[in-house]
Amino acid sequence: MITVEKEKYLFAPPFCEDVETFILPIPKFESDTYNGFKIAGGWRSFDQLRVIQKRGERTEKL
Amino acid sequence: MSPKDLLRLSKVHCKGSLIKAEMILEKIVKKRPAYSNCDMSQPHIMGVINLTPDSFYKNSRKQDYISVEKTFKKMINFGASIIDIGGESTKPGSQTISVSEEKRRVMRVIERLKEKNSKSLISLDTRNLSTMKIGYENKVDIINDITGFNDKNKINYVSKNKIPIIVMHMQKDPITMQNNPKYSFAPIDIYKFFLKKINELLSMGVDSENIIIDPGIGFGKNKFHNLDILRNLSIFHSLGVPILIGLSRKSLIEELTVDNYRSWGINKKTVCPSKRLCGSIAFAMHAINCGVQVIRTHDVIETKQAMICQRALL
Repeated sequence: MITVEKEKYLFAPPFCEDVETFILPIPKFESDTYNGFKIAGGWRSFDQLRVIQKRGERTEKL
Repeated sequence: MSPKDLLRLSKVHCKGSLIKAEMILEKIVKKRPAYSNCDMSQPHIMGVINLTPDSFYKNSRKQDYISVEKTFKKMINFGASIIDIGGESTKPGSQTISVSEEKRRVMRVIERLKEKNSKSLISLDTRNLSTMKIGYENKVDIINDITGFNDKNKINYVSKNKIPIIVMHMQKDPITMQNNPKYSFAPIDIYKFFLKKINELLSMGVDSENIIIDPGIGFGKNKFHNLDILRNLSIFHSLGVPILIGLSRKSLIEELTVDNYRSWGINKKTVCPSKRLCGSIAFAMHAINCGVQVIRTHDVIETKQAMICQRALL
């Protein structure tokens, strides 16, 4: 049995039966990222994520 | 939140959560393989040609082979990687046409185009299996289905023949799609639709490198749904396949412009499709900034120019 807790920013664990978590890379120029990754090996990069979570009827966006 | 923070937080609580987080990050980052010989690490333009008498944008309608070929060549010469050809209008409220009429409109044209331009990629925009079959027999490279391959027979056919496909999301059908469409949150609902659909396609033998998804702006979505999708476009990178988007001259641009006119006290209720180019380019550039791989547009030259200028800043 996993207990869902509200962390500072989001429900944790982020991926379990009670919580749906959706991850969005925040696209930037490669030169504007710190230790970033390319999105889909393409021309945009990211070092930060936007997280949308659904727990029951409640939706949280970080 | 950084990717590192997400992994750390997932790890603290349970192993399953960490594995899922790693899988999603892997899908976002993974280089997409070439799609129908198009390098998916670069953005591409798909030009639109409608062999219909009633598509919503008058200038996209072509009735004779000479004007089709002229437009086709112009689009290819000015930077379109793919030309999408359709014989049935699917604008809101449009009535279905018979399959034989659709085939009559598109097949001879595609056959002749392919004879003369065998290397140019042609996508066939159809929702009918028998049109897909005839198109493939006439060397169409890609099949673009607005119904999102809603029929197992269609999936079996493209799977068996290894045909690259474009899977679009649409709520209901073109006749009824704009009658009060409903979502809990459109980007998430559509993301879940694609997650399920991609799993179905893979389980039926479609190769993942042959799949592109299209969130279907304006297909069973109101202004707010469309804007939510555009604001959260990068959610679809977590699906691990390339994204196509069609925003060209859509009524969303009219709605936003009319709203703005209203706020200025200007009583103008319509902005016809021929006056929606700038909005189309603005949305196309937003999509490219979000890493969307294919832009479907009526305006290849203008979109390409905007892409070149934007590219120069990278």
